[in-house]
Amino acid sequence: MTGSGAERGRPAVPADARRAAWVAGARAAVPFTVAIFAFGISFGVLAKGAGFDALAATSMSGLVFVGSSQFAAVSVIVNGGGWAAAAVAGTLLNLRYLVMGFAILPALRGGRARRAVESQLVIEESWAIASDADGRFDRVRLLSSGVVLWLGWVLGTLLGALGPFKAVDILTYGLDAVSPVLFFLLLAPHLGTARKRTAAVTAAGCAVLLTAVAVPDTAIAVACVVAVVWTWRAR
Amino acid sequence: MDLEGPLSSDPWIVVGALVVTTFLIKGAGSLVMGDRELPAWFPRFVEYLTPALLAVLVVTQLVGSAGAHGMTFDARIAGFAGALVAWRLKAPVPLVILVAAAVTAGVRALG
Repeated sequence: MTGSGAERGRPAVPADARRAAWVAGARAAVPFTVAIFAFGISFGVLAKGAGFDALAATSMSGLVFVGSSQFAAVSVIVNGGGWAAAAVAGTLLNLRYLVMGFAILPALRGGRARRAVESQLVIEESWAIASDADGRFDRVRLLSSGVVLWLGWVLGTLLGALGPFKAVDILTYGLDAVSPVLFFLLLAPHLGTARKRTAAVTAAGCAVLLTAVAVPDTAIAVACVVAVVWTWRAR
Repeated sequence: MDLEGPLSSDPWIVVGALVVTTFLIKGAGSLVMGDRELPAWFPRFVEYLTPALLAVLVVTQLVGSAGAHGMTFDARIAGFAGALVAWRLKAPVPLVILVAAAVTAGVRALG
C-alpha cells in the first residue's frame, strides 16, 4: 500500500472488518435509498417538464448527485430563468459540500485525483453514515453507502423521466416525514457528550429561526459557525 | 438556442455547468490540500460540525417547505413524534421509518 492520508489516520484494517464495513454502509443506506428513489422519480418528472430529455436528466443525476441542487437548478428553468441563473442556484446549494469534503478528506486515500473522485459520493446521508462519533470517517462506509444511494437516485430519475408518472405522491404516503426522522437517527449517535448536545441544540435553534424568516439554506453556514465556536471553547 | 418561453435554456448547458462546479466543490478538499495534513484542531471541529449540521437538517426537513416561505407545521410533526416514541422503545430502524410515514399519512388523511 502506498503511504498517504488514510494509513496515517487509522491502523490497517483486516479484510473481514472491511467486508463488514461494506455491508454496514450499504445496509445503513437502504432506508435512505427508498426515500431518495422516490425523490429521484419526482426530479425526473420535473426535469422532463423543464425540457430535459431522459439522457440529460439522468446524466445530471449521475454526475451531480445532489438532489437539492438539481431541483433548484431545474426549478429556475421551469420558472423561466436562463441557464446561468440555474447553474448559480444549483451551485450555491452545493457550497455546504466544501466543508463536508474537507471533513472527510483524512479518510480518503490515493492521489489527488482519486480522492477528488471519491469525494463525489459525499452527500449528507453517505457522509453521516461514514462518520464515527470521534470525528473520524470510514472510507469504506462512505463508498458503499454512496454507491447504493447513487443507484437509487439515478434509477429514480431515469424512471421519472421515462415513465408515465405525474409525480410520486410523496404527501399521501407521508414520505416527507421520512427524511427528518432519518437525519435524527443519524444524529443520535453524535450526542454522546454535553458539548455535542449543546452544539446540536444551538444549531437546531438557529435553524428554526432562519426557517421562520425564510432563509433555511443559510442554516448550513450557521452550523459551521457553531462548530467553530464550540471547537474554540473546547481548547 | 431560441430565446422564447420558459424552455429556452439548453438543458445540456445547465447540466455541464453544474457538473463542473459540483466536481470542483466536492473535490475541493483534495484538490486544494494535496498531500498536506489538515491542522490539528480539524478533527475536533468535525466532531462538533457533525451534530450541528445534522440537527440543522432535522429542523429544515421537519418544518421547512420547498413551496412556501417560512415555517410549515403539518402532519410531519405528528409523524416525527410517533417515530421518536418508536425510537425510544428501541424499535428497529425500518419500523421507526414506517411509523413516521404511517402516522404522517394518517394524520394528513384525517385532517
